[in-house]
Amino acid sequence: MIHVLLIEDDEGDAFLLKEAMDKTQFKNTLHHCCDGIEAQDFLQDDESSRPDFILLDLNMPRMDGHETLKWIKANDDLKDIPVGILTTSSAEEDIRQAYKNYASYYITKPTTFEDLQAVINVIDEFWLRTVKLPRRS
Amino acid sequence: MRNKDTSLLISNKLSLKQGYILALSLILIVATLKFAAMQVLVVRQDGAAAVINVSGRQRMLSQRTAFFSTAFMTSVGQEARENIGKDLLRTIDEFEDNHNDLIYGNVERGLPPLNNQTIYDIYFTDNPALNDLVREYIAAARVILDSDGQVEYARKALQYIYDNGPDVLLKNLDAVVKLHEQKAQEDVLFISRVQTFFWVITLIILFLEGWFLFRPMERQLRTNMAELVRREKKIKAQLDELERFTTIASHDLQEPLRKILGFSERLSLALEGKLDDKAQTYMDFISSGAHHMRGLVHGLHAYARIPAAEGALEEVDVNKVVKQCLKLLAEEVEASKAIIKYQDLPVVVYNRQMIATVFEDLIGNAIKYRGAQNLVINISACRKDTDWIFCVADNGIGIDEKFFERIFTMFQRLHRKEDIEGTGLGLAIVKKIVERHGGNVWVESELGLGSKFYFTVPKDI
Repeated sequence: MIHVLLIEDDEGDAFLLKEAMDKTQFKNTLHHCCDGIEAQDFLQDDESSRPDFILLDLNMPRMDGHETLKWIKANDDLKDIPVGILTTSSAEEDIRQAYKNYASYYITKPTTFEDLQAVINVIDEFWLRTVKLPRRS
Repeated sequence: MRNKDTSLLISNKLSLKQGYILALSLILIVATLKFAAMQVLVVRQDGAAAVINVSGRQRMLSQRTAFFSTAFMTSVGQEARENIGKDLLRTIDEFEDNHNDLIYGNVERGLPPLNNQTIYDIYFTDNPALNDLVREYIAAARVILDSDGQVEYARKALQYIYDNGPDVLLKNLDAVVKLHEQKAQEDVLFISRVQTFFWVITLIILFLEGWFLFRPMERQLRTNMAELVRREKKIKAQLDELERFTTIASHDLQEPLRKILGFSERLSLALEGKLDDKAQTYMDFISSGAHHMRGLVHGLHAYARIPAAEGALEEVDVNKVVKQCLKLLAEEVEASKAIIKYQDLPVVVYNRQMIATVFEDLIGNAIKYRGAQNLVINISACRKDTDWIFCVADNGIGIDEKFFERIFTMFQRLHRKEDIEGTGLGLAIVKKIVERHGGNVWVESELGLGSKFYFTVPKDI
């Protein structure tokens, strides 16, 4: 069972992503947080299960994606969770900054649902099945 | 060598600054040299004038000595002799003093010592030497004084004076004066030549500077100016194109948008009750997405049109504008039960439509971002020098100070779409309008207590 945390402010996008993930082949639980602040609360909460993968949007109010990414990677408990940036922005500066802050993956949100499913499949295939990452016990 | 902006270069080796420093330094050096030279020469001339004066006087004194000597010898009576004796002594003394000063110089009198070979020769080397003549002449005159009138005693001396005074002595003294005058003339000619020399040098330097420094300098400046004008035109053209593009784009986007909104509404109605939860969710997402897009497109359209509508300035009574806005926002005001206070707002020169937009947005925001307590909005204006400062103050939720600048940026929002609706364009438009009219906009706020939005309207737009 793979735990995925989605940090995304747009309800519509979150809904679509959940649908895309439901249609893929791997079993997962998806938790959705609306912005960086909610995500911080969730990740710091001992009750909630640690996600294996984080999908992070960039343009969010209150605390945007870059700040959230930096916070995650600065946190000893959380820094080895791979973070994939999932955003509408294709700006070079955003891509550069994301990788500079140790994002593992940068995806520009596709327009069609089909493409979104394809993206999810790639994430599933590579990051959740193929790559073996050290896990804290 | 530091990398220099090529626009500041005259040539590869010389920058504009180095160029004019060089030019000015050269002129300064020439002027200073000339000044120094002239000072020296003028001082010399002073000396020459004094010398001519005194040596001219020697001629007169030599004759006077002869005269008084005669008068002394032919005077009758002790008293008369004493008086003439005094005159004679005075004359001899002056004659002697002058003679010494002319040869050895006298600083107080401004007389330089002898420094001319020809004149020196006359005094010392010629036959007869003027110096010897003068000394013997003076000695003879003193003998006459000593004689106290006794003819036998003074006879030789008197004879000497008669023989030499009006003749040899005078001739030599004359020669000396003439030589001094000649020398003075030569010096004046020399000064004139020096002047001419410096004038020519200055002309040459000026010409060279003009050709090698100022011409390239002027050419460079002209090139720079032309380049600046060219760039300005280019930028302006690009700006114009950008504005046109934005206007057209936002305009063209509205058509497909209308289709989506219109038909999704129709679809919603047509399928009412026939959709399962999931399908209904899809429909809702489509609608809200389309509405959001409409807000954005409208905002962009308004933003793009701001520079174009600049020209239409008129005198606007702000009280009336606010009243109009409140009428427009009547629903929202009613729903929020807001109390809005304004009074004695001034008349300003502004674009009527735009100042209405500004107030609509600021008041609208105050209503939107209200807090738990009863909303009170205060609209006021005060004068600072010649400008007006308007203020829209509310007791709403306030803004964290780290966002004070961000909120005026396009599409920057501080709250989730679900919590408070908005496109993130309102304040960006306000800022653009205010700045176009030459003013500034800013906010003062405290989280939880409320916000005050200020904007200025300058007297002359």
